[in-house]
Formats: sequence, structure tokens, C-alpha cells
Amino acid sequence: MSETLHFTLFEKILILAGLFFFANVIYLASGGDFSFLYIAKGIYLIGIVILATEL
Amino acid sequence: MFGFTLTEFLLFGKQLGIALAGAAALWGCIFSLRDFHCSKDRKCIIYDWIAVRIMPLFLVGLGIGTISYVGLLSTVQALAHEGIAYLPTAPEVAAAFPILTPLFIGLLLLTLIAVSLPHKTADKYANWITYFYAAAFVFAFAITSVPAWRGVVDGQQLFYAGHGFHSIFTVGSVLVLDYLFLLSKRAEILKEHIFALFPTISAVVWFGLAFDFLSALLIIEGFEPTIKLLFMQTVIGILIINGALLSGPLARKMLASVRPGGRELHGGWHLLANLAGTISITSWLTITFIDSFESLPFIYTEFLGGYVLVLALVFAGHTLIEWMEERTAPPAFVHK
Repeated sequence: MSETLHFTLFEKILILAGLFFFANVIYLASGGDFSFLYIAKGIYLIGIVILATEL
Repeated sequence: MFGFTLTEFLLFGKQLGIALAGAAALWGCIFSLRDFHCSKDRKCIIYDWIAVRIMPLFLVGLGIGTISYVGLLSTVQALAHEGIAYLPTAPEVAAAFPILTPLFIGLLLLTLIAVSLPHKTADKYANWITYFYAAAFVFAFAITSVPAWRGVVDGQQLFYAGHGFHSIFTVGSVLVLDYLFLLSKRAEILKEHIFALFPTISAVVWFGLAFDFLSALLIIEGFEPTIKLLFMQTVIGILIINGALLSGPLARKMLASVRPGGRELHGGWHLLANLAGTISITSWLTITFIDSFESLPFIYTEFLGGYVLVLALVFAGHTLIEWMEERTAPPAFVHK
């Protein structure tokens, strides 16, 4: 288990999208709007476009 | 009880059952088609064997979906959804029944013919099953695409379709993926053939989630910042990050382990792969389940506590089934 994990660009973008979903939860709970949700979904969809080009 | 109603349970059962049946049909069809590409002069019996073994999963999904639909026909009551305000009303759900009933009857008749055919281990059956799965997928796709009918094809109706059929490619395909993972425990040769399809199945799951996100753009004003929505967004964040780990480095590690000269996954890697698989199934089932219920009176920490509890139970059950599968006799062709 000493080996490091290697992520592709697509996977890194997905992780970023996932983190923005968490940020959205915190922002909404603090009384914010859905801005972070739209950013998270936008990043995710960019990742999907990259996945489509890799296939 | 606890905000759960029978009608909502039945809606969840219909959605999950048909999503599972549709995904089983989709992947059963793809596995049975792959036998033509395995060898130029001889058919690959391993992919056919896998395709036939997906049939029980299809039948379980169809059974859950049909029983839930029959229950819905007589119990559908006033519905509304929290989290997304644009989900179907009771009259819209009921208006879909004249479309759904013939589709259910068609799918059931088709399945009846398929399970009545003799010689289920012969090559001919394996060829038949390709066409059966293809037709069953079309029926399941149509059923999940019409969870409700507004009487007109507008943005909201398209949202219903996208929010419905994506389940075949997401939660349904994740369940099929895990079933295949457990099935592969019976023999190394099964791992080689099944793991090879993991990247394709993962890509379909990612595209399925993208369909749902895109369909939600059609009702962009429909979101309400409720506790349920906050919890669901948390689980979506978890399943995306976990999915990137599972379908990326972990899947590559698993693929390398079954290649000639590859080393078997041990210790920490094995545990991590199992944990990531469990998180994936639990997360997809959780958002599908929670999405089906309107008035859940839980606070955020209660939602999260329930999620962790289910995660622990699924992990224990998964480990037990894996242990049993490892001790199940491999298919006959392994000895040939």
C-alpha cells in the first residue's frame, strides 16, 4: 500500500467537482444561494467532455 | 412512519427495480455480443456464461418493479417532493399509467418467453438471449423515461424523462457492476474477462450522472434549500470523489492484478477496493431512496448517521457474500 495513487486529468476534475458539492452544502447551510451547485455541475460536465474525448 | 408513505415506497421500488432490470439487460446484451470479438474462429463461451448469469439479476429487478407498479395502480395519492419542487404530482403519475401498463405487459410477456425456452446452457440460448436483452432494455428504458405524464412534451416532461432513465445507467449499472465483481470471485479467468469491462461500465455511470445534471438544467428554478437537499448534495459529493478513486487508480490496480504476471491485490489495496465499492453502492441507493420521499423529518446529523449505519451493514454483507463466492465452485469451462 506504499505506492501512490495516480489520477488522470479527468479524475482530478471529478474530485474537484465533488469538493465543490461539499462547498455548496456549507454555503447553502450558511444562507447562501446555489452558485456553488452550478459551479460543481459545470466542472463535472467539463470532466465528462474530457472523458468523451478520451474514449 | 418517520415520514415514509406506502405510495412513495412503491415509487422507489418501481424506479429501482426497473433501473436494475434495464441495466442488467443492457450489460447482458453487451456481454453476449462480446463473444463475437473474443476469437476469430471460435466463440468465447465465457462472455456467454456471464450474460446468462446476469438473468437472475434482471428477474429480481423486474419482480421488484412489477410488484411496486401493481401496488401503485391502486394506492397512488397526493404527492409532492421536497428538494426539487418540479417532481411529479399525483395526477401526473396516474396519467402515465395508460402508457406504462402496456409496456409492463410487453416486458413481462417477453421475459416469460425467454425463461420458458429450453436448453438454457446451449449455444443457441446464448444467441437468443442477446436479442432478448436488447428488447428488454428498450422496454425498461421506455418505462423509466415516463415516471409521469404532463400531457405535453415540455421542459418539465423532459426533466422527468432524464431524471427517470438515468437510473439505468447510474444506480442500476453500479448494482450490476458489483454483482459481476462478486461473480468474478469464483475464478481467475472470470476476473480477467469481467474486469476488462469495468472502465466501460464506469464511463456509462459517469455519463448517466451527466444526463441527470443536464436534465436538472430544465428546472433550474425548482431547487429548494432543504435539509434533505443538503444531505443529498453531500452524498453526491462523496459518490463522485469515491467514484473517481474506484474507477481510476483502484480499477487500474485491479486490471493489472489479473494480467499475466500481475500480482494479486493484498491487504490495504483489497480493503480499499472493497470499501470504495461499498461506498459506491450505498451512496447511489441512498440518493435514489431519499429522493423518493417527500416529508422526512430528520435533521442533517440523523441523515448522516443513518447513511454511515447502512454503509457499515452493506460492507459487512458485501464481505460475507464475497467470502461465500470465493468458496463457490467455478464454472465447468474452467476445468476444460
